[in-house]
Amino acid sequence: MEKILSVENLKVIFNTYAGTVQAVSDVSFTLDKGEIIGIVGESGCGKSVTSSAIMRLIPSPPGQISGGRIIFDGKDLVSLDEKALQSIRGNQISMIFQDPIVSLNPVLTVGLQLAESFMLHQKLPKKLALEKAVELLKLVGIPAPEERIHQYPHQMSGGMRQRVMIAMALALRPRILIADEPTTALDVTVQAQIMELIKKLNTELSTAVILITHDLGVVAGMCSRVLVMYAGKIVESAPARELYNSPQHPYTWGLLKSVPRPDKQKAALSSIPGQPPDLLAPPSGCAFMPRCQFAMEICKQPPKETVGSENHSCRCWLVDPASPYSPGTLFKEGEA
Amino acid sequence: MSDVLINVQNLSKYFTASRNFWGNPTSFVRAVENVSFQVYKGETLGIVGETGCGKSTVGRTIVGLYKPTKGTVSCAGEDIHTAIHGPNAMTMRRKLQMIFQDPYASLNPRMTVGDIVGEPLAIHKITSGKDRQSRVYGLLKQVGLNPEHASRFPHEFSGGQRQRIGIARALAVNPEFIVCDEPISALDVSIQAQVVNLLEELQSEYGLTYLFIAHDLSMVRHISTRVAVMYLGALVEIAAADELYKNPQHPYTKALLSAIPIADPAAEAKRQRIILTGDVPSPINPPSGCKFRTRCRFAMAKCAEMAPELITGANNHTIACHLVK
Repeated sequence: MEKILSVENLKVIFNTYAGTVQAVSDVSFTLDKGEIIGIVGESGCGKSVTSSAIMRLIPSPPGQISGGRIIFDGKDLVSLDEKALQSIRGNQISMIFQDPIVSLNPVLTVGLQLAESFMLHQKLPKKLALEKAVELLKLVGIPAPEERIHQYPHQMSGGMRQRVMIAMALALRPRILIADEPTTALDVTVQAQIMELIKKLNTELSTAVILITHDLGVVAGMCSRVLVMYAGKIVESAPARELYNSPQHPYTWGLLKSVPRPDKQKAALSSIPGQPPDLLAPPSGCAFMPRCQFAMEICKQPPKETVGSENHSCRCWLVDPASPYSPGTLFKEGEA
Repeated sequence: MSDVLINVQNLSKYFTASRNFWGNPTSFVRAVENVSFQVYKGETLGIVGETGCGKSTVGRTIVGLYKPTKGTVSCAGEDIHTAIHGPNAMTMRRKLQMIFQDPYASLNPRMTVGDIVGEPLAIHKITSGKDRQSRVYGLLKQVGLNPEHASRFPHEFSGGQRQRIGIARALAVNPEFIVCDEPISALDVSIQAQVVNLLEELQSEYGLTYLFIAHDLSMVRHISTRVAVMYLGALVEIAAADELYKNPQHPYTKALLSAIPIADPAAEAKRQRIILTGDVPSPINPPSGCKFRTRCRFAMAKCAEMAPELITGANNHTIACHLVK
């Protein structure tokens, strides 16, 4: 497969009055052409900061990309100037945000907001650009697009607004689409519609998608590969089936156990005790250690990344080649 | 199990949407229309549905935060809305408590946790002085917090801990019935399970009865004894949790259940999704007859003419649909 994006050892920090927050530390992954990957994690784990960093949308100050490279098309996005970035943003890489009502301009009609990207990037006259806007709305399945382009965002429902956002993101046929919690604000039935749409556009336009979410269920149906983030680091990454069938990291295992399965009989719900760490003063070793039921003495040192079969990589001392344990058997005992 | 604790009969709640020049209402949001159900003692009744289907309105009307437009709600045979406007209002209010969705908005930022949890004890004149303090400490311990937390303020706590404070406050007056209005939707996945487990423990310890309102369908199945499905202000189906999820009858319930994402790629690949088209109609001007007919794949002429009534079939499975005989 052809690689189109590779993130290498990305570090993002935020300088606040209380001290330096290490929002993302040492994150590396690659994205192939036409692939859908998922980034999962709880709030504050750095998943949204990672995606904003790819778009170079980290507000600075207080934020700062303090290390690493983001290679797209042979260019390092971290060192590009604003002008060069503008020709990539929206055109080559575009993004859908969580809350469509905040991300759309309330005083402009939907049509104008859609036409703007054609007028800016392709220098089309307004009339032609509006015609293209109608086509886009048709593509994302909005009924009566000719009338809808004259409406304002408040005249639409949440699902419809998110479709407009998707239309906007896809306007220039970008090669990468970053969807940052695209359905968190929506109902399950609308969520199903939107996910179906993203999948359809992925196959038809072969756009690569980075799907960021906290919902393990959404990722399961969509992604070929899943990255699990915790406290600013990728703790586990593997092909979707592999990750769900045999999680290696205790955090992933805990997450999977704390979601009830609607298709299975009721079983006791196990929870992960404690809460995510404070990133102002992260634990020196493994960040998950205080909540981990398998914590050992060595966990006070930061674990290295171990890559196993099927490209299943995990950052945990349990899977270290020198470890006497195997997570699979430990987890089975933990379930019993 | 068979004692009815809460009996909701033909409940309707309209909100005024617009008024004319003279201030008289001209149109209404029909948030809840003609809803009837019972909650049995000791059970958890889950209510699910999409945004705006009226599930929160039902919960708030039951505890008396809203006055019903039509219909009655009674608790152990006594009409709630007559009682809370009468001389014995406090006895009725003590029986019914509520846990709110947003743990950030539902706690007063200027009160200490001890004051927040102790306030219901003061209002209902249950305990005072040293007794109240030890009762507050006891409540905090019960919900998994430390007694030292009593002197702190809400902003010092995380979302999950705040929700525990809200639970302690609801428990303070020894209620019989608690309405949990989306108590976990603002929390992270790993914290949700903690709060749900706490609610289950408290239920078995005190024999509490819950009305659990949520849009997370998998969590509702997990916690509920029975589940009710609402669409656009109407109750469309109600059955035991396992029965409803295994054997949904109403076309809307089927679509809703098929839309739940499952955290397993193999199961996801196998399933057939029913994708609903279009949007939920406006509750100001709902469709005639069956409210779901505009999005229903099986809509017939009859569906536009008359609203289907709730019919109880085998396994106590109640459905409102013309397709089901």
